[in-house]
Amino acid sequence: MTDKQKYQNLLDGFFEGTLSSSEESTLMKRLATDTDLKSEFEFQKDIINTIKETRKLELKSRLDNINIKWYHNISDGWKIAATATIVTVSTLTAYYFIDMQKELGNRIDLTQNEILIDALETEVADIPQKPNALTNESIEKAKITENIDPVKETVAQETVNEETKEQVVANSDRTVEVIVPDVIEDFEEVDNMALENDISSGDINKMTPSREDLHSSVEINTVLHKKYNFHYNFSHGTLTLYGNFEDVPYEILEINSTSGKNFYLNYKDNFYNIINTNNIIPLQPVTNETLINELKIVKENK
Amino acid sequence: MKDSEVLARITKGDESALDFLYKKYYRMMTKLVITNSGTEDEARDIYQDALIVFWEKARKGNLVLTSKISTFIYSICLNLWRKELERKSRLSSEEKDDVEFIDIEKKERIQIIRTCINELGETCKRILMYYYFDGLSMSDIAEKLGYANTDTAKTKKYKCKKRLDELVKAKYTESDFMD
Repeated sequence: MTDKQKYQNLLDGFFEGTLSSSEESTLMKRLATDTDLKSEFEFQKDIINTIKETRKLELKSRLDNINIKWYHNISDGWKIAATATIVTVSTLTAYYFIDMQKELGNRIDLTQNEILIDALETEVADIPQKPNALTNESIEKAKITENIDPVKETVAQETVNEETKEQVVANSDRTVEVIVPDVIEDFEEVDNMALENDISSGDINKMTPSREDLHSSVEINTVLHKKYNFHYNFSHGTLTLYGNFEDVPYEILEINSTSGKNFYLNYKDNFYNIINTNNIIPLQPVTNETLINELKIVKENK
Repeated sequence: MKDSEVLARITKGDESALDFLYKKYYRMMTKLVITNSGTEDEARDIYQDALIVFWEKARKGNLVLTSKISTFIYSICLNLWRKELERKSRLSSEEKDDVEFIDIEKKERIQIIRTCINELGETCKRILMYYYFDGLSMSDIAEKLGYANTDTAKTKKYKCKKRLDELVKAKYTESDFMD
């Protein structure tokens, strides 16, 4: 074996980690004086380091492709099941409310159509003028919008027919709200608005109910805690349940309504209020019988 | 999944165990960086690097866990982030021109080698990565890549490495690797 081959073998052994300490010492002494060997050493070092870097990048790319927002802190089947329940219940609840609205809207439309249009005109005329957008054209658009929206028709009926108003108010706690649409001149803006209108962007009252809007953004964690038992904390879209929630299935019911989203925990046949809070507070059972019945209907229909 | 199970799966080279860890501790680890002057991108980067360090150590089979995996990864994150902050601090105090010059030359050199690695083809690339980074034995490589025996894997690895050396040398003269 020539000297060159001998040191080449030592180089290979060095990068494969198979050299003894005496062999390594021999190689290092030679590297200090042999420039050709030193050059080959640097060459091999760069190649092997780049092979390692390539693998690291491959693994990092794999991790980058994980949708972390949806998965983080969900570590067991119960939590996944609960999340799935939220989506399902939200979907059914939304359809349930939409159907109710449609039914109500159609009924009013058949009996009160002409009165409604007059009422809408009166209603629109009473709207305080917006400084920049309220023109005759926008008022016309407001009429059209109101006319095809059953919720707004209910609102209009309240203005005209006191008797009907009382009935509607008795059945609903909706606040009277007439929205004057802005005239959109720039259609590029419309596209941007559509993009921004996802569930995570906040104000769900501004959104039109649709299938795309029905995904929950709530993340659920359960924590076994020495101090807190059967408590919770709900802030920034993260619900943390304190206590032993691992042994019995639980569900989070997410109810979409015109006043926003309401959340309830269904655990061992009882319903508990979930409100936004930065503190860790005890889970309080729902006591309103009407609400309990509604939640039962929603739960059974999912 | 218990820590011991995760470690066993990683030792076998099961990348889905890495995915599991990534998801499980994402918030905890990234919070460490974000609450210490880091951005979310930096936090993600540090956490991914820490997981890869963990993977590398576990893959080599000489990792003895004396704490929970989360504690171990947390300490790696902490060290990596300290180093990164030191690097940033050094960068701001050194002459930036010199640093940029060195970086550009090194990046260029690495880019050429990276291109050559990709030119090798998927099988050669995988053999070399498994051997030099993951520290897989020849029998593990043979099993993973479906070779008949260890000798076949050994020969293949030798040929792949030789081909890579030739490819890089053809693109770069020896003096390009000297300062």
